[in-house]
Amino acid sequence: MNVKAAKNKISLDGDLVLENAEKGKKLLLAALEKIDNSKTVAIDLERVKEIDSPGFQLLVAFIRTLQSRDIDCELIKAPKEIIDLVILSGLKKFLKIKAEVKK
Amino acid sequence: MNGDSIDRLKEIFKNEADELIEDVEEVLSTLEKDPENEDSIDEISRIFHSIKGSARVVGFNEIVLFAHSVENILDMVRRGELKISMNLVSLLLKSVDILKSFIDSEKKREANSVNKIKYIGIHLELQEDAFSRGQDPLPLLRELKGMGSFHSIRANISRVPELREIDPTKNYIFYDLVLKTRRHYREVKDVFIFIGDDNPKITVSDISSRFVDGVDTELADKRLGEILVDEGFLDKEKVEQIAASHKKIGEEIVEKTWIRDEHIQQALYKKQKSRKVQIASTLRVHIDRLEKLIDLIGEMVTSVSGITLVARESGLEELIRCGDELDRISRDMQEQVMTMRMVPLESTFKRFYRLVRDLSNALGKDIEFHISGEETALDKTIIEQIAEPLGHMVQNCVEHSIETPAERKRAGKPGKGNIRLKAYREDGKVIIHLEDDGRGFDPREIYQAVKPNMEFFKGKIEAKSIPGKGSKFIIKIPMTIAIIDGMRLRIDARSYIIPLDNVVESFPLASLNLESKKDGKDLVGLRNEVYPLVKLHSFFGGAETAPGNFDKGLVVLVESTFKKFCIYVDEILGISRAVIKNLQKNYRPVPGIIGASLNGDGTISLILDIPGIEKLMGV
Repeated sequence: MNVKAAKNKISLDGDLVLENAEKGKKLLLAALEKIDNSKTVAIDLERVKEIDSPGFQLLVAFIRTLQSRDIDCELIKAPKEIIDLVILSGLKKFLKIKAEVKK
Repeated sequence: MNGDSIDRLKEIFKNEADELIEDVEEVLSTLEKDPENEDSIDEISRIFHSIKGSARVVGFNEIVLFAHSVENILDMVRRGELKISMNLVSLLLKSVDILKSFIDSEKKREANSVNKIKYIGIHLELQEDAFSRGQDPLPLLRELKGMGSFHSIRANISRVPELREIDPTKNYIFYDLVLKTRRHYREVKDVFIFIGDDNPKITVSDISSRFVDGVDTELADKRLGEILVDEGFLDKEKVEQIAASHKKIGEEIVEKTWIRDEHIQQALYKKQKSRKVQIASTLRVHIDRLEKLIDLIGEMVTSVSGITLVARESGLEELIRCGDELDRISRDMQEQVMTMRMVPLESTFKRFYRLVRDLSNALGKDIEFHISGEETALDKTIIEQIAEPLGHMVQNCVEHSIETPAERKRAGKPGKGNIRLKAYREDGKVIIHLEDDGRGFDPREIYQAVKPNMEFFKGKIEAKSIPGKGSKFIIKIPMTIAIIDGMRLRIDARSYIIPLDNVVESFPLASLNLESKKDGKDLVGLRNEVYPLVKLHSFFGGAETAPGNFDKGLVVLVESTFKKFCIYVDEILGISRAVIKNLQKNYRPVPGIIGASLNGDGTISLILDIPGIEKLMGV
């Protein structure tokens, strides 16, 4: 998996699953350094194919860290399968989904 | 009409039909004695007509047709085409039997039905190392969703640390959900068959009785903050933060922009809807019948404890499992039935509005009375006892603490004074805060007035008054007085229980400094404090402990409403939950004893009344 980070946006690429969760954590930590003090950060999930519970936990931890810096987050370009999983797991109110659904 | 409404109507029909059938039998017996009584025929006709109408609404067509045939016969009697005879009465009685069998078969069919909508509450908390064992809650949630739909789901993320601290291989999130399904409860439980046995933090329970027309009636009794947490809009920590302040939760969270106003409105709407449904589905039961039921369930819990004890001694695994299951169910049943005694503090709190208004007008004071948490529920008996002392305290705040507008202005305060009354639940107790921003007054003035009632329901009161700033009272009350958690102990050959709320700590007597005074009273020295020591051996009719054995015993430091003292005991037998049997009702009042409780082994323990003993022993 890969993570690209800009001032107010990060883009995830690949699978956010247990097998590469350690790597995911490192990449997200590195991404945190690049984020400035924007009011909102967009998390682009367009290229995420699969996500499991460890993957969701990483996202939650990432967002909580930003929240502690008073930065709000929103998920953008999430594929329908990912949105379905967010709803299924009851995380819809925490992981705010924005933008169009990828078909 | 949706499936839930039909199910509910069917339930109502079956209950009503049972009552109507009883009525018909009674009228038929009158008719049998007085065959000329035309009113009886009209009455029977009305009842069959009523059954027919209700059966049609819920689609019990066989009952509709049958009731219609009976109505035809009754019409013939009314038109004079058929005479009332013993044979006719017998025929009508036979019709009632047939009607009963129709209703019974509908009941059985319903009971066996797998299609009835159920609401299954699930707490899904996998162990921390679940991922490394190949377990993931998501496939389980997917399987559950395949069985119906989620009425609600909340992912609890409070344990997820910040990114730097997280161990990505560990599981932190757990879930609380309500599954709406037509599947059998067992099938739902089987979803966890491969992980459930070694995972005690997964619970599956049929909570259908909470739901009426798809509305969760439990929401009516929840506070706004609890609903917002359940809905995932707000963290529990933030709600606790607000609770510590005196602001209204809705205003505070909108002010802090933690959540949007529409989410609060959504939660309030759910609460109100639940309240409406709860009121519409309320059944009045006389308190005596309820208390009888509580008594019986209490005895059942005790008997079940005995069974589980025997099961464990037998070593038969299946018997132990069944015994444990029975124990869990009977305790759940007991908890449920206890909640039936609970009523909200609302009407008690609201009556003080008038008190404050009338008193402040009479005294020329300008006071705003704020109440919150009035939906908090308490045992009915406690509510009856709390009203008077609480009223006394509110009255004191108005009369003695809050100043006149002129006095307040001279003291640099706004002319209008404030009295705040707030209730909430904490650690299994109900806490009532009463405070004002007046000049304060000596809280000792109210102690004597409230003491008897506080002792009755084992309440505790803390009072603080800061001259010029105001007074504050915190009352801690057990939610019920019918069950207590207690320390079971032996004094001589008898078993007693001290309510855990009164127990501070216990020590071997030999480890303490004991001082006997000339008047025969003993004192115990403990961490620079000296406490009176009470020996109950002779007091309750037992033999005085031989001096040689005295040192071998233990001392339990107890806390009464206002004092602490020590009780000498021979042995501590353990901690247990006790259902209080009223001695006054079943025997006679015994000073120093609250009541009795049946133990799992069939013996009886007397429950000590600590404030009563304080008085009796002249502590």
